Order: sequence, then structure tokens, then C-alpha cells
Amino acid sequence: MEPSPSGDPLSAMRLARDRVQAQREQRAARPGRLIMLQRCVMVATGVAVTTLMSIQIVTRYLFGFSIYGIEELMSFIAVWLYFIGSAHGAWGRGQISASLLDVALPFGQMQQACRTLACLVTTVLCGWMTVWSAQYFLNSVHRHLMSLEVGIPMAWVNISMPIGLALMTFYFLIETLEEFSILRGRT
Amino acid sequence: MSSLIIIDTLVLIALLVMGVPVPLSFAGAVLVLVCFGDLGNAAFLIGAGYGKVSSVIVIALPLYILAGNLMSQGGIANRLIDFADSIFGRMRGGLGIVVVITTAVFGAISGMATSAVAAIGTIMIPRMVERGYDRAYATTLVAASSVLALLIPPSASMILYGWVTGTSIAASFLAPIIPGLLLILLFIFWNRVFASRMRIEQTQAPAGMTPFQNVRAKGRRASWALLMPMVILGCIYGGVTTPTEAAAIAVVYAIPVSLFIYRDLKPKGLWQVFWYSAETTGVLMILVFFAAMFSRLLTMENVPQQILEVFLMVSDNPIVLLLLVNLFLIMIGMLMEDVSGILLAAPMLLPVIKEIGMDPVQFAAIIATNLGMGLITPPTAPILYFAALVGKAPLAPMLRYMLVFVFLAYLPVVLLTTYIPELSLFLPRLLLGR
Amino acid sequence: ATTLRLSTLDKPGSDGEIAAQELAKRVEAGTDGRVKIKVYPASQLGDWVEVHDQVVGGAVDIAMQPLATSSDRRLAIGWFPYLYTSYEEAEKANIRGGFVDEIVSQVTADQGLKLLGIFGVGMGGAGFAKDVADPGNPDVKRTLKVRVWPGGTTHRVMMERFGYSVATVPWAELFTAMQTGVVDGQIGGTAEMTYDNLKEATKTWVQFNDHFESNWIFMNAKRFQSLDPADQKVLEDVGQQITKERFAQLKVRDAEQLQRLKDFGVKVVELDQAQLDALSKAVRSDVWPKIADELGDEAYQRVKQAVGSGGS
Ligand code: NA
Ligand code: NA
Repeated sequence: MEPSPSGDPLSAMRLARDRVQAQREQRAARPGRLIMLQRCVMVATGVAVTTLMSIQIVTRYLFGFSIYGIEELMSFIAVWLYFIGSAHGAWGRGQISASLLDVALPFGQMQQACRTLACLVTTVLCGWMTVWSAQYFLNSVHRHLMSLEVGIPMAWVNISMPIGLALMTFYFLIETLEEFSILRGRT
Repeated sequence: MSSLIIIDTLVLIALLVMGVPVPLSFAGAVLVLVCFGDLGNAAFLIGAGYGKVSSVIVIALPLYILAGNLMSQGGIANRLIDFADSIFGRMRGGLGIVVVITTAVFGAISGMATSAVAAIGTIMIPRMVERGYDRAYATTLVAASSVLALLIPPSASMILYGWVTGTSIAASFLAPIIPGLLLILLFIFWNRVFASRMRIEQTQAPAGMTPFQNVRAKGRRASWALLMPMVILGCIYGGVTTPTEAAAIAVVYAIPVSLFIYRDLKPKGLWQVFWYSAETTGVLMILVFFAAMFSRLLTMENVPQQILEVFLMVSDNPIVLLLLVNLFLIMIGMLMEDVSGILLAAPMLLPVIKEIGMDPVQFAAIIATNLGMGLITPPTAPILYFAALVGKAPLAPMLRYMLVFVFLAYLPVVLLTTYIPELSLFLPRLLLGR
Repeated sequence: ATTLRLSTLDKPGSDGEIAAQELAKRVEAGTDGRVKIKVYPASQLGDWVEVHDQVVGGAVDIAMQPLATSSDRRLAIGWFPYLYTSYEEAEKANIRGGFVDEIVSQVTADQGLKLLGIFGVGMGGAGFAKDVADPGNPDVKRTLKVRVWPGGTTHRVMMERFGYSVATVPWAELFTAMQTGVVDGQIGGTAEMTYDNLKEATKTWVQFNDHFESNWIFMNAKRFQSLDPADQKVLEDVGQQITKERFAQLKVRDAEQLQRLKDFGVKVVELDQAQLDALSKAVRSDVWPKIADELGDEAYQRVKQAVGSGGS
């Protein structure tokens, strides 16, 4: 790696930050296969929910009947949309946050250390939640829980949660490593 | 209040301030309670989150977001602005009025304040600066009026309020409309005051057209966009569909309008609008997911009841209690944006609201105006900051204008909404006979 | 002292919530304060499907509510239509040793739950935002659209048999949906539930006696066994006391709830025995075979046998 132009840690950090920034922009411009797969799921579930809801309206209001279980099916598809959508949001660093330290502190080691710590904490918390959701999923497998209307195993729906949360954990981890590399002033 | 809850609140605030995303800050607060509480295996809490996100009712959320994005990508902002400009543009401070009116109408199509800033701010801020408005002022005006998106239906915040409190979404949609109209009037008033101090050029009607012909021509161009709120509201309040089904109708309406009539959206762009909308939805729903877990735990620890008791210790006068409710909401609004605020505060304050004997539909309007105001009040002021980014305006001079909008527009409306039930209940009574 | 969490869907002040508080009070007194019960009313701990899961998992200790069929379809026996033609039959089937109690005790035991008793809510009916022509006649084609709760297959088939069309509107939207005419009515609850939640949107109430609405009182079995045997007995005894006392006042309470609706200005239609028999006959012959799957073969045979011997 390039040595920092002076021994100044701040300019080394700036350099590292610009490099990470460039990497992120490149990733956004050329998303990988995993992201494209997620987008396919997001678009497919979005189209499916819209279509099912439209079918529901047409049958209910034009023909006076509803297809049994269609609402339940929609809500299951929507759950997939939410969790994969949220994973994609973590990839795009678009999760809602309200950092005040970022605003209060000037760019520097203190601010960057806080950022790195926040990312690390986020990753750990998200990983923990992934474990919980996996337990919840396994519970629905063991108890053979079936949906009330359509009668499909709840496991098919519940697995969207550990998958979405695991992906989020993965993207948070990458972000943590990136922020840490900025903190150290290297890439 | 137990010390564990107080520690937990501090942990939550610390995580938020540090910059941990709001949903995971809630997860952190959950973990603290679980580790030091008596719950045994806490994986069941996932069920609390799942129960909230898997409802058919909240499918309204992705659908309205999708419909709103389809229309914004389809170029409605331009058409709405031109139309409003043909009517108000030649008045004193006309462009400011155009911003207020356009964001309000845009709000009737989109449920998110951020989309209003992005769609209208990008066009209007440069145009206002060009005509002589102060950049900081133009930007603040866009931010303050973009909040109308969550007061005028459809609104993501009101869908979630209705869902977490078990209140009808159709009624929650109607409650904040009149407070929203009051805000519009106040914005227009303050715009006139500020504009009179700036050197501003007036718009001229295009050559060869009378002003009236101009309005008609621009109105026709905007008509498909203007028709969409009518379709949505007609479906819901004409007894045709539930609010969720009306959302699907909005999507089905928006696709051909933006693809074939306005033609600003290309079929290729459709793909992007779909995944982008799904991402926005996912980011909101993960918040709902973790907020539901946290709020379930707070219920198990009896916190809403304790909040009520603390409030009652201060006073049992409803006027004072309502003031406390608003102070509580203002504090929440300083820490987080509207959706997180609603998810956290609504279940916590519901016992107080019931004690006072207030209709939860009126509380919908209070919470919407108060937490809407929170979107532009620092330290956490996402809409103000986003507008500053879009308008390329420095924050410091914006704060002066922001204070006027908050103290002389939002705050009076919040108080009026709190103490005059008719403002929020008139429309639900009229249209739903509640 | 041990503190147990009890969840009920009922709102504070309703018969169900009052019974839950009473149960808590008697258990605390009977165990000399060793076992305390904290009641969480109004679905604070989640909807019934979720709470059922939580009791199985041990996060909630006791619930007074319907049992969710997502874990075992035999539990649909809880609202199986026209299973009883009188209050006496309903009581006999549901108290200790009755055929419904036996089926439900077995299913719940398999899930790690301890059945403590049952709280009879009342006989079911349907509320409408409009007038209903000849509701006692099962053979009329109608234009009314009725809301059935999500998962309510039994009542969907039944209402279709009675000539209505059926829709599933979420509970939170039901009031508005009835008022704006998205649906014309709702079935699956009682007069009390309708008075508490939907009276302003209701013009007509038809006392169909279509099902017997009941909340089972069930507890996490491990938690139950972790208690002192003497305290276990107190819990079981109090559960049975509440069960019996409720059945004794059920008929009167139902009549009072109908009166409340009448006083509010709702037109209440009470069907005569001949009409009830006609509806019951139509359901048992045409609807039951179609919804037998909901119960599973074994339980369905058990039901047919019990009802047959009961001389319907
Ligand atoms: Na809106
Ligand atoms: Na704020």
C-alpha cells in the first residue's frame, strides 16, 4: 500500500477514507451476483404482492367472491420482501440511523473510532438477532407449524428472517472492516 | 420506574447517539432487558416482531411507497410545479407558495417526506434561488413543507400508527388533514413575510397565452397526477375498498400513467423503481420488526402503566396531561424520526390517552403533527439535513427560518390539534360517521 | 413467591377480563401468596396465534383465549359450527370429561400445555350493517357480503351454504369496512364482542347460535409442574371453579348482552327453535362433510359419534 504522504495520521485517514469511498461507489455501480439475486427476489415479491392484491380486488368487487387464503399468501410474500429489502438496505448503507456524534465531532480519530465502534456493535447485535431468528425458525420446523389458511409450513416463511438478518450481519461486518481500515489509515 | 428500565433507556439513547442504526439500537435495548430480566429463552420475541410485520394491513406500506415512487419517476413533480406556478407564480412570494402547494399535493400521492424533498427540492430550490430567494430560506421552506407528506393521506406513518394501536387506518388517514391545511396557511403567511424582504422577480405568463389559458393548459398536463389522490381517497371513503386494496389500485394506476401517458419512466426504469421501493420498505419494516420486540418487552415490564402513573403524579388535569404527552413526543422527536417515534411512543402513551378519554383517532393527528415537527428539529432532523444536502445550503442560516416554522407554525398547530378535538375528528365523523 | 403472566384478548372490564382477575385473586389467596398472577388484558402480549406459541415456549405462563389451529387442526373443534343445539349440550361437552374437553386436553398435552379449564364466552351470531331478510332460512341466495376471521374456514363454508358471500377483512379495518360498505356484516363473535367493538356500525344482530365461543384456560406444562403440588391443585381447582361458575350464568349473560344491543338501537333477531333446527340440519348435512378435514379424521369421527349419541 502507498505510504501516507506525511507522517500525519489525519491525512492518512483522509486518504483511506477516499479509497473506501471509491470502493463503495464502484460496488454500487457494479453490484455483484448476490445483490442481483436479492434484487430479483425484491422485484418478484413486489410484483407478486401487487398482482395478488389486484386479483383480490377484481374477484371481490367485480365477481363478489374472494380466493381463500390469498391474503395470507400475500403477507408471507411480503415478509420475504421486507427481509431481503432490508438486507439490500444494509448493503447500500441505507438503514435509518440518527448519529449525533457524526455531526458533533469533526472528522478525526475520535469520530472515526466512534464510527468503527458503532459498526462493530451493530454487527454483533445483528448477529445475535440472526441466532434468535434461526431458533425461532427451527422451532417452527420442530413443531410442524402450519399456516392457518393456505396450510403451508410456517418454516418457509420464517426462514426469510434468519436469511435476511444473516445478510445484514454480513454487510455490517464489511462496513466495520472498512471503517476500521480508515481508522488505521490504511486500506 | 425500575432502575433496569432507566438503564435500558440510557443504553438505547447511547446506541442511537453513537450511530447504531435505529432498528439495531432497539435490538440492543431488547438484549439488555433480556439479559438482566427474567424471561428465559427470549427467541419468542422474534414472534412479536414477526406478528407485526406479517399483517395484511401493513402491505399498504410497500404498495403506497411503490405507487409514490412510480409517479415521482414518471415526472409528476414537474407537472405539478408548472400547474401550481401557473396559478400562484405571479403573486407576491409566488414561488414559495408553489413549493407549499406542490409538496401538499405531492404528499397526497406519496407517503414519505423524503420523496417530497427529493422530487420537489431538486427542481424548486435552484429555481427560487435564481429568482432572488435566499438559498437557506428556499431549502428550509422545502423541508418544512415536505413534512406535509405524512399529514396528508396516504401516509406511511399513519399506516403504522393505525396498525400498532389497532386504530382504523382509514380514520387515521383523515385525522391529520385539517391540521395539515392549517400548516399550509401558516407556511403561506410566513412565506409572504419573508419574501417581502427579498428582491424577487415575478413570473410572467408565456407569451401568446392569457393567464387563464395558461392555467388550463398546465392543469391538463397535471391532470393524471391530480386524479390519483382522488382515485385513492374515492376508493377508501366511497366504500369501495380497504386502504390496503386502494394502495394496489394506486400502483395499477401509476404504472400506465408514468409509462405510457407521461412517458418519463422507461420500462427499464420500472425494474429499478421496484427494487428501490422494496429496499425503502425493507428498511422501514426492519424498524417495525425490532420496535415491536422492544415494545412487547416494555409491555411485559409494565412500562406504559408506569408512564401513566408518573404522569398522574404530576397532575390529573387533562390539560396538563396532554401538555406532558406533547413534551414526551417532542423529546422523542429530538432523538428519532417519525416512524421510529410512532412505533415507540404510540403504545407507551396509549394508556395516558385512554385515561384522558381521548379518541385514538385524535391522538393520530397529535402524534403526526408533533413527530412531523421532529423531522426538522435538531439534533435529529433528518428532513432538514436531507433538504440541506439537496439544496446545497449551509445549515447555520437555515436554523433561523427553521425556528420560525417550528415555533410560529408547527407548535401552534400541535397545540390546536391537542386541545380542539374537532380539528382531527371532524373529517372522520363526516366521512366515516364515527 | 412466583409471578405468572396471564394473557387474555379481552379488554379491561369485559366478563373475560374480570374472570381472569378473579382467577388471579383466588390463586393468590389459595396459595397464601406463593403464586401471584399478573393479568395482561387486551392482547398486550400479542394476538392469539402468537400468544399460543408463547405459552408453548414458556414466555407467557397462562392464557385465556382460543387455541390456534396452526399447531394442530383438531383445535378447530373450538368453533366447529352447530356442534351443540343448546347451552346444556355445550356445557356437557366442554366440562371435565366431556368429548370436547377430552380432545382438547389430549392435543394440548401433546404440545406441552396444561388445560386448566374453559371460560364460556357465549353463543355466536352475526352482526350486519344492513337488514337481513329471513335469516333463519338456509336456502336463500343473498347479496350480503360477510367478513370471516382469517383462518375461519369452517364459517366461510357455512356462510356460503347460507347464501352469503364471504370476505376476510383484517380486524382493525372491520369497523370502517362495515361502515363504508366494503363488507356488510361479520360472523365469528358474540353479542358482547359486537357491542364492545362494532355497535355503531351494526344495524342488525342475528343470534345464529352457530358456534359456542370459548376461551380455554391453559398453562405451560413445565411451568405448572415446577410449582409445589399443593399449588398445582389450587390452580386446577380454581380453573374448574371459574369454568363451572361461568356455565351457570352463561344463558343469563347472553340474554343481557342481547338486551344491551337492543337498548343501543340494534335490531336483534332471535331465531325460534324450528329455524335453529333448520340451520343446524343444513350445516350438519352439507357443511360438516366439507370441513371434516379441518378436524382430521379421528376427531371428526369422535364428534359424529358424540353428537349422534347425544340425539340431535
Ligand atoms: Na402522504
Ligand atoms: Na428532531
